Amino acid sequence: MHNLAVYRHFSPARVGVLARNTLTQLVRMRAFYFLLIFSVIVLVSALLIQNFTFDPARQLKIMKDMSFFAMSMFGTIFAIVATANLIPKDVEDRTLYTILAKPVPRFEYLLGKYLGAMLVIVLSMAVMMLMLCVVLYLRQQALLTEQQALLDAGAPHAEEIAVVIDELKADGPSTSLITAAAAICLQAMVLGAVTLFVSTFASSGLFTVVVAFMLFFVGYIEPVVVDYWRGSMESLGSFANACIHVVELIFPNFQSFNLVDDVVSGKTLPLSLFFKILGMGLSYVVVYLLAAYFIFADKEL
Amino acid sequence: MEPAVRIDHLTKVFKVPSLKGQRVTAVSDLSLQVAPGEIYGLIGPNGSGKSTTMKVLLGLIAPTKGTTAVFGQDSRKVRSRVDVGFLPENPYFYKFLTAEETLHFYGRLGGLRKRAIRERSKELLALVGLEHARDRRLSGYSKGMLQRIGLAQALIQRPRLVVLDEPTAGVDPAGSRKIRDLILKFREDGISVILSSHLLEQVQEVCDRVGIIFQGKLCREGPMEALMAIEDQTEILLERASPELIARVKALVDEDAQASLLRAGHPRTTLERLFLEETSGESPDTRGGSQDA
Ligand SMILES: Nc1ncnc2c1ncn2[C@@H]1O[C@H](COP(=O)(O)OP(=O)(O)OP(=O)(O)O)[C@@H](O)[C@H]1O
Ligand SMILES: [Mg+2]
Repeated sequence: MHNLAVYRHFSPARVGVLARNTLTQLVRMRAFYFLLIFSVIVLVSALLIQNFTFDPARQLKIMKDMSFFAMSMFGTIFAIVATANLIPKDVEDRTLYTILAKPVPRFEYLLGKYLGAMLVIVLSMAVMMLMLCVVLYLRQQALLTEQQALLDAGAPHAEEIAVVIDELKADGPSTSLITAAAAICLQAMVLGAVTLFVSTFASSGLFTVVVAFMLFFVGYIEPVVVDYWRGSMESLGSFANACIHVVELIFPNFQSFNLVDDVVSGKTLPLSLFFKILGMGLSYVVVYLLAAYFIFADKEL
Repeated sequence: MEPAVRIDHLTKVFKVPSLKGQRVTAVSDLSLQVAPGEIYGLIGPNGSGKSTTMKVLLGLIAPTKGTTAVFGQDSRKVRSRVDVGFLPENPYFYKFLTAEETLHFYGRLGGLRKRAIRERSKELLALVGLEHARDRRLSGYSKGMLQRIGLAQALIQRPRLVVLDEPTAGVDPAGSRKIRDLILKFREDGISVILSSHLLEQVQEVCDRVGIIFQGKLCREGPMEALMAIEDQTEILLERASPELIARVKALVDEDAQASLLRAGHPRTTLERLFLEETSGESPDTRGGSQDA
């Protein structure tokens, strides 16, 4: 009797415990080694680029480009590989028996596992972002002083140098940079939810990974394909159109999370764009998590 | 009073992953009850459906037919698990956690607060004899140690019912004795237990009631003494009896018109005899094929 009073149908504390446990698991599996590699890439590139190019503004652009490439690689690979085995491993090791034998609703278990993996991604991204911003800022300041010194020394082509300085100023750390990183995080979260969903019915970890990568690929080329279909099948009428709509709805369009090109070129991203991506990303996460739960709820263990 | 365990006409049919879509009836029309404070032993050959019954009881798999309940709460509801501790067969926990972290994890899932868990896990680690290994990761644990941390984990939130699937499998005799003593202590504390085991001597020692399950059916059930008693036989247990004394007893029996001496020697486990009697025939795992298509 004493215990029954305590039980709640949904307990954020339990989800938190499961998420933290997953975080510990991934950390102790040394998933963070990737971060180390990343820092080496960023720092080394920052040091070496000065030798590649004489164009100062390009140095910052290349740095941003490389860092964001590494970040989205990390996000994509980690979201799929780390999430794919979370549940199958617990099922296989029968650890799940002991967890679900406690008063833990299956939905909390799924959510906890998912959030734990996402926490690793978000934390890693934050660290990478911080590192990028620091290095970018230092390099930007160094280049600015360099250019200012040229200007002060009365170098020829003063207007050109002024243009370079303007460009350098636009290429430093900015909120747009953070927006782009957040978009990468969101893409990883959507991908993680898709992978979790696949893993609830997949027969093996390899199957999950392969299918998840395929879905990612489909989502990535989706806008191109859909445009092509729209162009070629106009005469097919409303049924075909509805089909295309369904495809568009089911497969997340991963292209829309890609803000890297805009950011690298120094464009300022509007906040509304961020919220649009946030809304879309979270919707997909919710839908795929619910779908995963739908299958997992009645699973025989 | 509400029974600790109520299993009503439970049937569980598994679809076996195969091309022909075969089915295996793991448990068929099984009913049993465990009273509060009672220690119930479920025995039966390999593949007879003991683990399956326990998994249904814990809501890990859904019954095909029938219902199961813990303290009156349907097993399909998560709420029914508040008052249960479960030790699965060959338990396996997160390797990357230490013993203490493991207990913390399960304690939190059981709804305990941090402070309560700290005290409780100290108590439990002492109880199962793992104090020396509290800071070691479970990846370095032996089978017996895993079994013991599994027991501690099951007890963390002070459940009123403990479900133990082969708690002494793979544990050495000394450890197995310790687990037996623990179970006897549960009785003192009024905790109900349902356990399965292949060590019949132990079952005979600790259980109040036993059910013998064979091919998914409960074929014999009753209080330990009743099952063990053979009405028309009497056992005389002597200590330090000289051969002459035994010869005299034999002679005495021979004089009697009705009685006959069946056996003189060291007593044998009668539960084992009963077990073999009830479950003679092929075991389901060796029978091969499906029971019903
Ligand atoms: N998930 C499953 N899918 C298909 N068949 C299963 C499944 N689980 C159990 N079975 C079958 O159900 C029957 C009962 O299995 P169960 O594990 O309950 O036996 P048990 O009494 O615990 O045996 P043991 O003493 O070996 O532990 C067996 O024939 C087994 O093959
Ligand atoms: Mg078993």
